[in-house]
Amino acid sequence: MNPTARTHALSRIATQVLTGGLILLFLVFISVPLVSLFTRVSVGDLLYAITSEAAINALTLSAATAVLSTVIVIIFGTPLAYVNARIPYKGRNIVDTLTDLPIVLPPTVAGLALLMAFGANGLLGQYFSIFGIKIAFTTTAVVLAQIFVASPFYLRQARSSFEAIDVEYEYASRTLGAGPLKTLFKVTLPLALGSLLSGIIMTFARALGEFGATMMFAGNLPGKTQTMPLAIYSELQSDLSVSVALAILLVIFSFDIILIVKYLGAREKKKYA
Amino acid sequence: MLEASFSRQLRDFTMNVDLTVQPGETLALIGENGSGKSTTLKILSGLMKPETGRIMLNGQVLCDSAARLHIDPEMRNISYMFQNYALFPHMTVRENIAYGLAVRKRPKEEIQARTNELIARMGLEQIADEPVTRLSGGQRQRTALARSLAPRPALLLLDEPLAALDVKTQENMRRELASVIRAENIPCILVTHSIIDALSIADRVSVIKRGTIVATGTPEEIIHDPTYGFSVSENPNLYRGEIHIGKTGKVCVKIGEIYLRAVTTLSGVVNVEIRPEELIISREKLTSSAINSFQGKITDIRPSGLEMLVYVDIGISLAAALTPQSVERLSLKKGDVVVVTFKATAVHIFA
Repeated sequence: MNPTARTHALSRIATQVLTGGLILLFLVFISVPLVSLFTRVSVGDLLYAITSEAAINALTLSAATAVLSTVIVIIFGTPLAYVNARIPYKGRNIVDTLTDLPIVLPPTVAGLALLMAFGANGLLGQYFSIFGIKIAFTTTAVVLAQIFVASPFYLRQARSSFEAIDVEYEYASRTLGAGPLKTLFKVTLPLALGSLLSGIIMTFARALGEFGATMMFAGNLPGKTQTMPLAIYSELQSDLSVSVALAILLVIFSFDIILIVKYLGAREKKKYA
Repeated sequence: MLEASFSRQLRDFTMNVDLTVQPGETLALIGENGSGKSTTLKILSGLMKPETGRIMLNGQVLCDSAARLHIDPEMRNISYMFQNYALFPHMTVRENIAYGLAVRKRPKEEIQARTNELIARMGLEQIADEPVTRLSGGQRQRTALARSLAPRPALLLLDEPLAALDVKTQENMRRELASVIRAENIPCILVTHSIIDALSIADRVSVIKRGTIVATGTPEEIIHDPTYGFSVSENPNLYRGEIHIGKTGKVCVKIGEIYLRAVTTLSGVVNVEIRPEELIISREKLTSSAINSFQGKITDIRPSGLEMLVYVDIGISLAAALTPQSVERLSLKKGDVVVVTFKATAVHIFA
């Protein structure tokens, strides 16, 4: 082997070792914290913690608010996503940017903004106050905070699902005698369903994990506004095992979410290929 | 009867379309890509609005810009078969065909009867409950046609119905399409850029150029009108002929006064296509396996793409495609007498 060839071979091995090392380190960094959550408490402690009042309150509140906010996002978000996918209009980019903003906005900023709008002296809140309606620091505020931060996940996915459906399917349906609404329910939505479902699940997951905006806008009141992420934070100071138990639940749930979304994505690709 | 007259500004030109379709008639709208064919269908079906104009179908006004009237596509009873068929991928063959009747809320028995009738007519029984994503090109075409016909539309619009098929399937489907359209007796507008489709399916042909209909006539008139014929057809060697079978079983097709040997199972009046690249030009008569050999005078030589088209009058005008080198080597020029030779299989016969 001549010297140039040897240098070349050495440098190739070095590159491989370096790449492998970086990948390995990163995977360790991601998985070690997750694993250490599971090693922290015994199964018995876990079951005990999960049935504690604080945990059950947080669980039911989280489930109820996340479901409600997801449903509201679907109802309000679907028409907007459809219009933005199909109809070019002036200012469509501005609308898109606006609805995307909560993804990059720090949740505490979102919470503060909501407080400024819906707080007792807020821009809109002052009028609600006149009628004795209080929004901030109530369960309603939890739902509003979740809608605010989670809606972009649905809007983005829904828009691209509708864009992926050839408009000729809708044209064909119209010329065969179906009105716009019938076409939506018989053709467009069934075709978009798998893809929309991914968006719905991501939105639900984001709503479930909401912390910062809820803390700022809804507070941390057990049974009323204390969702799972907030309970994890609170219980850290009183009962670590409850905190860890709730955290484990969320990890397992999030893992399932990723699996389901990946599965739906793969199925969608196969179905109409 | 359809009477339409409308205009619409497109990016490159203004569309100004005037057309009528008689009851039971099939009109072929032929033109190059981007000439406004599909836009015409979209406007007729109501998927697009004209800027000005009026569309009447069987006495009913579907669109009248002066009265600001625009009937929605679902209320027009005009079926539109898209070039790529747009079959609903989440439904079976049967569900696709039944769709137009189901959304009209027709009685179940009627939907079933009509759907079954069309499934049988199109030979789709074996695959009726398959999802449409598993069908071959020909099966998709049949399903799409059945779906368009199911509601018994007042007008049928076909956008390049054969373009998505391979050449072999095209020939079968062309014949089938023609017979189904005739059997249903529904007035029909067929958009195509193929003169062969127009010849086999249409009663009348309209040539559209940059959004304006420049000529309308019978298929024969349009093909042989030098003003339009060449612009719509890639192949100048298209004829109408009649099949003659000799006592010994030899199959000939008679075009004008000329008899060409051919291979076909068809009979009666047929369309004939001879591809220019399948013709051999020589100075002397050739001894070869090719059975058709005719002497004639060169009437014209003109370039066509990378090749030269040599027109020879053998009683009918035949164009042969030669490389410029061959034209030079044989030193061919207008007025020369040459021999044209081609095989019986080079004479393509279709209904």
